[in-house]
Amino acid sequence: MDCRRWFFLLCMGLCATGIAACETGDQRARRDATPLAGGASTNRNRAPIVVFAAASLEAVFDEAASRFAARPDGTEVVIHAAGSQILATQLLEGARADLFASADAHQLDRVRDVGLFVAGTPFATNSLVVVTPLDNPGHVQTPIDLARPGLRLVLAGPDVPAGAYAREALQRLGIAGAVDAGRVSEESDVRGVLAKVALGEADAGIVYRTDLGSALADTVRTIPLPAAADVRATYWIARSSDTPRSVAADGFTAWLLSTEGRSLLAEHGFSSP
Amino acid sequence: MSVVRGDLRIQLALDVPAGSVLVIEGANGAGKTTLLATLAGHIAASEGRVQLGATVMEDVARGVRLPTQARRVGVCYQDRRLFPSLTARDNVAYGARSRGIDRKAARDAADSWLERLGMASLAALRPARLSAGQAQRVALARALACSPRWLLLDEPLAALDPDARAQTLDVLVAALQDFDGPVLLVSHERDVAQRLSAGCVRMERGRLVSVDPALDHRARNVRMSDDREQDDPVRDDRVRGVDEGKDGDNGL
Amino acid sequence: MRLRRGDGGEGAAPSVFAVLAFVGAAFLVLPLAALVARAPWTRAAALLADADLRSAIVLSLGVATGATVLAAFFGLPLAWWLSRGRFPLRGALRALVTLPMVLPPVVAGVALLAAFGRRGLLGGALEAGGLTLPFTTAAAVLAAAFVSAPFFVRSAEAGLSAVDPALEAAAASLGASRWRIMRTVTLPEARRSLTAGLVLCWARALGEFGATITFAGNVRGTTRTLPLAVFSALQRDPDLAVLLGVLMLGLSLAVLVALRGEEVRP
Repeated sequence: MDCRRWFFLLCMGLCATGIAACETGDQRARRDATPLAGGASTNRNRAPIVVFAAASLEAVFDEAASRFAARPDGTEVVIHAAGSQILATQLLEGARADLFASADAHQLDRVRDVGLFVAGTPFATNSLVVVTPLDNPGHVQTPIDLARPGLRLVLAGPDVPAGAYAREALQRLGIAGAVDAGRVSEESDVRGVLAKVALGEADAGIVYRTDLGSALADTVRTIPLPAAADVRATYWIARSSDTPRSVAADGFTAWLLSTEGRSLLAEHGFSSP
Repeated sequence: MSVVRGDLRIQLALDVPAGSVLVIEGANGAGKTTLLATLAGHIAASEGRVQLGATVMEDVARGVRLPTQARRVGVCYQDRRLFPSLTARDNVAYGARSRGIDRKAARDAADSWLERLGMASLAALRPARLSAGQAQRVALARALACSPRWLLLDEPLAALDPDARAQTLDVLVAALQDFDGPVLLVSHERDVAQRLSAGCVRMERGRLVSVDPALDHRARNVRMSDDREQDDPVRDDRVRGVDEGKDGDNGL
Repeated sequence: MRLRRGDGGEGAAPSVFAVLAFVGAAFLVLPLAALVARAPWTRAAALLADADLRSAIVLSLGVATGATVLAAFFGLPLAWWLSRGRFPLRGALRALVTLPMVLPPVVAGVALLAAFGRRGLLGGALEAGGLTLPFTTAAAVLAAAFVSAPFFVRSAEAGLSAVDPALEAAAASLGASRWRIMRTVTLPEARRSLTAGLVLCWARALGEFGATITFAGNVRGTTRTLPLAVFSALQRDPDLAVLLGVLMLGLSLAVLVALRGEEVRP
């Protein structure tokens, strides 16, 4: 009997850890605990500023952070990257960040509307492409093929900026109805879309052009969207309305908008607004 | 026949004619229960042969070993082994049900056995609600009710209070009078052998140490047995456990 | 008279234990209480009327039940084999089939992709047979079964091992076939462990997230079970996520109550 009780307790324990592990799901979301704790005590000038950045900005912002920190007037910058909608939710739930770089205006509005952030500035734009696995198992030749029944399409969720833009593109193509059929697997950020396509599990997905600079890019085939469906994604950056680091934060924004910042963004495939 | 079980090595030859009862006595650990378990097929013999009439149940030399199910043996275990999830009635009916008899007929037969043993009123109870003595009688009824060709009864009267014991012994005597197969009964109570007019042997550390003189030709120690035992023509409806093993190499 | 522990103070805990125990209990209870306290009860009716949500609930119950049926169908023979079989490396096999229980679920999802994904070990064979698993409900069931079946197998194995072989021997002496012995003696004797295993398995399958989102994706109505719906809702409408959380909390509580009668009792 004792043995069985121990086993039972073990089971319940594992059940609990399993569920706990599940609920935090997105490992990137887990990371935010650290910068938040640090962000609360930013009275010291040497403390880094915290930038919440859209997932598609992760690579370019990592590099921007190191370049900015290396400048004589620079500050250390901590980047926390996730889907913009996750970042907005975290900010609404009390997470602290000095800057928020969102992949669309809507997610920024969510935190601006309640006064957490001041008006933002558009600092970059991006465009979308269709990607398929290299062997193209779904035989996707043109974007119209995405409407074919049975095709395994992966998009970012409708709340994710990349997902919202993708749906807009599909609407412009006249095939928005096809993706509402409940056959689309939804990822919480655009990197998940690229991963599912690169793994070959999905037939096609829609991602940012700039995502193709990542390591996974060699494992997918790209199909451009026609001009009529070329939705332009605009990135906004805004400063927290109550940050004690407003000078440093504004310095980072100014640097992004400077020639040096723009050329870095351009290197990563972003355009100017 | 011989069995090795841990430190215990059983070596003996028995020959129980059909319709007769052989009572085995002996102290705890003498090997009585192990002997019955081997005959029932729960434990494999290491040497020798077990035979009922023309049916060879086990013959180590020839690699024959009938599974317990095919031995048609009725066993009343010392530890009773009633099925906890079944009522007393269904415990007794279990053997008949296993042989494909329909539920109604099996239960009717079970009820009549329980009635003979004074247990009719408790037929619907599960073993957990029975006293040790009541459970003992259910176990005996189950062994008798499964239409066995031979019986192995391990202390069937233990745990009974005096009244129940007298009644149960009466029923047992009557039932065994009707029974035409061989019966091996483990008991250390003298009156049982007398009432059943059975032969009696005594086991000690796996061997027969004292044998009723009248039985001398049927049950003996290996050392006493002669080669004639192995060459005996098959006699109908006798259970025989014959040792064919080497002599004297036991570890005891 | 029976002396209860602590009557004479000999078994009493050091007082610092009381403090630690209180902190520990608070840590475990507080988040759940906070979840309930935050639930938007006034919006509950409107939120729960959502068709997507209802489909997530139905899907979750179906996936958890399907996974449990799979776990029982293949897991019972496996548990039997582990408890009765005499073969080399039995301990190793037992450890291997327990592994998904302790594996991070997302790793389980990656492992499932490696085995059953389109480019997985068996993916080509499955595809040739017209079967593509990822993004289907079948994949969600497999993902849930993979992480939850060990709960059933181990519990069933413990139960089967505890069945007195003497009872099975007695049934055999009464002429019962192996199947009949299993049906009438072994399984009824192991009933408590089997039931507990099924309930634990179902509960774990119901809570499955990581392997599902990795292997089966997050397709509304097809693979978006309740935990995935909580995850998706959190990005859009935290109120809805909280409400779903309370719903799952209730289900988990129901599972514990169901288990109380079976296994928690010493």
